[in-house]
Parts: sequence; structure tokens; C-alpha cells
Amino acid sequence: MNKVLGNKKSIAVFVLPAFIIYAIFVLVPIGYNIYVSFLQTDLMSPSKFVGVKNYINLFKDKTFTGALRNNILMVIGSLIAHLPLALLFGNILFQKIKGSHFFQTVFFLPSVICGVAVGLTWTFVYNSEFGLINKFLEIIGLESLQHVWLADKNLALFCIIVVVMWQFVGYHMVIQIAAMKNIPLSYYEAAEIDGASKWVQFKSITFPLIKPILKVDAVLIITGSLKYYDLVAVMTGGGPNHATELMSTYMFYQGFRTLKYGYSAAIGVILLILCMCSVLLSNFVFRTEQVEF
Amino acid sequence: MKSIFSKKTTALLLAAAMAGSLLSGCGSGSSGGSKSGSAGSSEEASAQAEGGGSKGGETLTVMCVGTEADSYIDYYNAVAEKFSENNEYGVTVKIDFYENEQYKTKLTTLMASNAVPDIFFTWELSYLQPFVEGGKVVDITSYLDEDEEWKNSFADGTLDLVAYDGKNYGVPTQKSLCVMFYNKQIFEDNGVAVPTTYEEFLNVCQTLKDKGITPMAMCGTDAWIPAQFVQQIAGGMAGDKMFKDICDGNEKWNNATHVKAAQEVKDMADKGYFQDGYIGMGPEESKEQFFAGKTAMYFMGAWEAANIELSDIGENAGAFVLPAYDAQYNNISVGSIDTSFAVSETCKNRDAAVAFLKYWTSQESEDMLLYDCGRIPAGNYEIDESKLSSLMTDILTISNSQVGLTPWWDRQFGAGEGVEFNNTCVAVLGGEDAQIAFDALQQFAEDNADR
Repeated sequence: MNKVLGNKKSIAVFVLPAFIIYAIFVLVPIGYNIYVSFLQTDLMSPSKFVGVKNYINLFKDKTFTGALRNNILMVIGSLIAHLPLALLFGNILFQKIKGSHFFQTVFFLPSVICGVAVGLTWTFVYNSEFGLINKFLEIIGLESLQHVWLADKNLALFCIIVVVMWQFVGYHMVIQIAAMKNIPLSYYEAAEIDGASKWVQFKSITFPLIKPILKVDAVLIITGSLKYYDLVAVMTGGGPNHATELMSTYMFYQGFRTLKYGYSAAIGVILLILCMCSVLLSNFVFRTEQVEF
Repeated sequence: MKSIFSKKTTALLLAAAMAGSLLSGCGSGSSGGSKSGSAGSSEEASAQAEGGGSKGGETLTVMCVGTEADSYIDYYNAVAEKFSENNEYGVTVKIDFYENEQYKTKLTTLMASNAVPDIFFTWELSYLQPFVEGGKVVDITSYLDEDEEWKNSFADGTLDLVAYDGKNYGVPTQKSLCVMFYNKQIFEDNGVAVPTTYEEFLNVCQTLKDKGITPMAMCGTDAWIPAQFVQQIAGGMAGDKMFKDICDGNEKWNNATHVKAAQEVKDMADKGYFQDGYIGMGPEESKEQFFAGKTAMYFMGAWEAANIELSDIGENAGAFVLPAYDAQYNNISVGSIDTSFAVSETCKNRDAAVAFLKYWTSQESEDMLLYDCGRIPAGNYEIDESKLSSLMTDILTISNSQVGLTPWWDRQFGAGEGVEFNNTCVAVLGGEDAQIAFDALQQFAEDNADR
């Protein structure tokens, strides 16, 4: 085996097919996208090179800055639900309580349902006439709190963020529980003998030891909510009047509806840069040494 | 799990999975490529291959908007079948239907990759324009010039809406305009008559409201629906001159008429003239309000007539044109041509494609579409009124009495200013100040010119 791995050529033979596919489907499109973002083009008529004008226009575009703000709110909402909350739930289920496997499954379920189905279900929940929420408010006598949830420009985005929080909390919880299960039980036994409380155990054993996983998880959360698309497309389509527009939905709109592909590609590049920044950021926040048990 | 061969088995399984996915990838790719020779999606390729293989003759593929829920698709298919049965080119026509939003995405993608089917459905004006400028659409001027009779069969101006630089690129098959559908039964029961002035219209709304009946069904989630109502009222305030001025750039989007018209609609909403919770209701839900007889009126394109006749109110439905705010601008409606088709540059058998469109706009098929499906033909044909339902008689009377039609803003300007106009109207209904909202629209229009 070592003989094979020692040979650079044989490594290349094994890596090359995957790399070629990766290059064709990822690297080349990214490069082409960056090139298109400097053009003013509908990909049919002759295109015009405009330099960074698309980017300058983007930051003057109120809809885009609104979408950016919405994306940041989405990241914050997801981070709250998918790190502290998921950790809390995970930690509770990690203790040997009755039915923890059952609850793991229940929490995990929403994330295996496809986004479109989740979106449609929640549109019914939020429906102003027969939706669950308004009916519930009516029953407990709080009619004054009833809203046309998804059509209210101040509320619609938060309604969607709540759904995202709900949908993926189980997914991240399972990742974190898996990380916790890797920690040898002897650490906890030793801590218990020394009289450490559950909180101290979490703070001093669990958290530091699952940090590398949390780093990966944070990257998943942030990039996931930056490029979020399906729920918004299904529930509001970016409306009312762009109030729930995200960068990805606006990119789609500018590309496939107004045929401003250059402009749309520029949004894509900004999305790419933001995703890369988020990786650097989470690497910095969760910096840690490699641990081996 | 811990057995000796676990690693080996896993490795084998993974290898098999990888090989499988690679093979399947290759498989679909090669079959798509070899059958059609174009870079089209596999669906398109297989559709063409199937049709072509079974009959021996050529197949013309048409791409059209429609879903199973639309009653018209049976009639469109009937037109295609009739043409396929007997034509001098020996071609078979096959129509593929796609849902509206899906259609727009698919068409733009296929356009950019030169894989559009032979004939495609299109909206007029700015929708088709980029495709024409990109050289993706066949210039059919010569076909029209060759056949004067066909050319003259189109009503005045209808061909112009799909002509660019004086050349014809599209064939309109229908006309459409916005009308106010109403429930005759509800009107009768409450002692109100069809209004002839704007004041009367507001009185009808108020009377119905006082009697506990919701006057109008409205949809708030699909922005073009409230927007066409605002556009209609604005047309009644300032006529079609304002429309032309905006198109020519001589008038701004945030003009006083727009602000006033949007405010007018907002006032109607505040007075409860639309059903409760309309702002969050989709088109189907709001339509259902009128179909089920819960609201008295419904402002919509005449294409809805066939569905209304099939609904619970059926025979009780009538239509009138919304009286203008300023009576001198009566009978100026939001309307245009509809269901236009264009031939794609990739089409090999252009003569057959044009012949099919010629057949579609012939008296024979237009009659069928009118009498059975409630579609107003784009051509000037003799109409046998005895074959029409009372609702269609109303609509044709309205259609013939219009002195001006202003195409929907989102067709005139497409998904730029047009869609933003729609969004602006929704914003006003959602509580934003009308002046501020339209100022923002004007700002958008100025910024958008240079993107």
C-alpha cells in the first residue's frame, strides 16, 4: 500500500478523475461566473464589458442591500437556533434520559422533509384565514395579535426564519450529539468523582472537545443560510415588495426574469466571497488544537 | 459491523456506487446527445426522438404555458391534432405544457443554450424583445407578406405588439382584456345595477358592503393582480396618453395619477371592499371567493371566463367594463394580445411551423377556441352570437367597444419596471405611503436603465 501511495503518479491516477469532474462542474463555472459578472449581457445579444460597474450598481440597489440585510438576519437566526439551542437540546438528549433516541428522531425529522413541502405546510400554518397560528390566537382570545403573517412586510422574514430554525435544529443537534458520543466516558466518570456539576462537565469537557465539530457545523450553518433559497421561493417568492428577498432569490430574479445575467453573476460572486469569509471567520472563532482521544 | 470483511465490503459498495453514478451520468448524457444532436435537456431530446421515431415523419415541438388545471390545454391539443392529421408537410405537432413560472425559467435557459423547441409561446413587447435582439427568433415578415389574406385577418395593431424594427416575429392568436366579472344573482338580490359611472361603481360597492356582502375578490400575493386594477383605474383618470408618455419616457412613474390611483385602491381595501385577508391570499384562493358566490365582483383578464362558466356561479356570471374615474376616458382598458407564438431560429422546418401557426389562427380553430373555450380571437372574424354564452357575449361587446387598450405594465416593460410597478402597488396596499412608494419606483427605473 505504501509503495502505491509513495508514487506521485499513482496518486494522480486516483485523484485525477474526481478532480476533472470537480473542475468541470465547480471550478470552471465559478471562473466563468466571475468573468460574466464583469459584463452587461443577456447571454444572447453581444455583451459589453463594464468592469466593476455591476458591483457598484449592486450596492446602490436598495433591493440588493435589503436582501443582504435579510441574509444577515437569517445567519443570526440560524446561528442562535443551531448552535446554542441545538447544543442545549443535544446535551439534554446526551444525558441518559428515557426516550432520548425517540426524541432524537423527532427533532431530526423536519430536516429530512424536502424544503418545498416544509414551505407549503408552513404557508398553511401562517394562513390568515384558516391557519393554525391565527386560529390558536383566536381560541385563547388574543385576536389582537392576529396578522396576515406572510403578507406583512415587517413580519414575513421573521416568519420564515422561524421555519428555518425549526427545520434544521435537529440536523445540527445530531451532528453535535455524534461529536459528544466520541468523548470517552471515563472523562465524565472522573469528573463526577471529583464532584463536578453537569454545567462544569459541559463547560470543561464537552464543549472544548467538540469544538472542531462545532467549527465545521458553524460553517455549514452560515453558508447554508447565506445561500438559502427554497423556503423563500415557496412561501413568499421574495415578496411582498422584496421584503423577504434573499441574495439567492434576487440572483435568480435578475438572471432568469430580467435577463441581466451580468448583474446576477455579480450577486453570485458576492455570495461566494461571503461564504469564504464565513469559513475564515468560523476557523478564527473556533480555533483549537487537534485533539486525539 | 466488526467482522473482518467490513472494510472490504464498504469499499466495494462505495466503488460500485461510484461506478454506478458515473455510468448513469454517461448514459443519460450520451442518449440525449445522440438522439437530438442539440444541447437540449434530456426531456426535450427524448420528446423529439419519440415523436420522430414513431411516425416516420417530422415532429414539431411546441412549448406552451399551461397546467392540467387549465381547461384550455385540451383545446390547444385539439388544434395540434387536427393539424397533424392532415398537412402538406407530413409533420406531427406536439405541445408540451409547463407551469407559468417554470416556463419562464425554462425558456430563458433554453434560449441561452440554443435549444429552444421549434415553436414557443411568448408574451408580447418587452418579453420577446431580448430574444429577437439575440437573433433567436425567426423573422416571419416574408411569410406574412406572401399571404396577404392571412396578414389582413389580424385585427389592427395586434401584429405590431410582436414586431420589432418593423419586422414581424410573432403570431398573436388571441386578444385579451381586463373586465369586471360580476355575479348577476347577487346584484339582483341586493337591488344594484351594473354601474355606468365611477361614482355608481363605488355606490354599488358600498351598498353591497352595507348588506354584508364582500364586493370584490382580490389577490394580494401575486402582485400583478392588484396592479392591473391600479393600472385600469389610472387609465380611467388620465387616459392612454399617460401610458404612451411613460413608454416614451415623457412621463415619470411617480406621476400624480399613479399615486392617486394606487391610493384609490388602498381606500377600497380600507373600506372593506375586498375580502378579509386578501393581502395574503393567492390567486386560486381569491378566485374561489368569486367562484363560490362569496363575493359579488372579480376584476380579471377575460381569459378567466371559461373557468367561471365551469364554476358554481356558471350561468349567473356577467361582465362589465369598469367605468372610468373621469368619464371622458371611458372604455380604455388594460388589455393586449395573448398567447402569441414565435418560431425559434433552431427550427429546421420553418415552413411547416408557420403553416401550423397559420392553421391556429384560421377561422376553423379560432372558432373552436372562441365557442368552446371562451378565447377572443386576434383576428377579425365573423362571430356567430347564437353560439356564445351570455358571459362571452358581454365580453365580446366590451372588447369591441374599447377605444384604447394599454398592455399590462409587466408586459410592456417586462421584469424590470413592469414587475416593480406591480410590487409598488402591493406595497401601497400593505400600508406604505403611495407617494413614497412611487418615488422609489421612479428611482428604480432610473437606476435600472444602466444595469
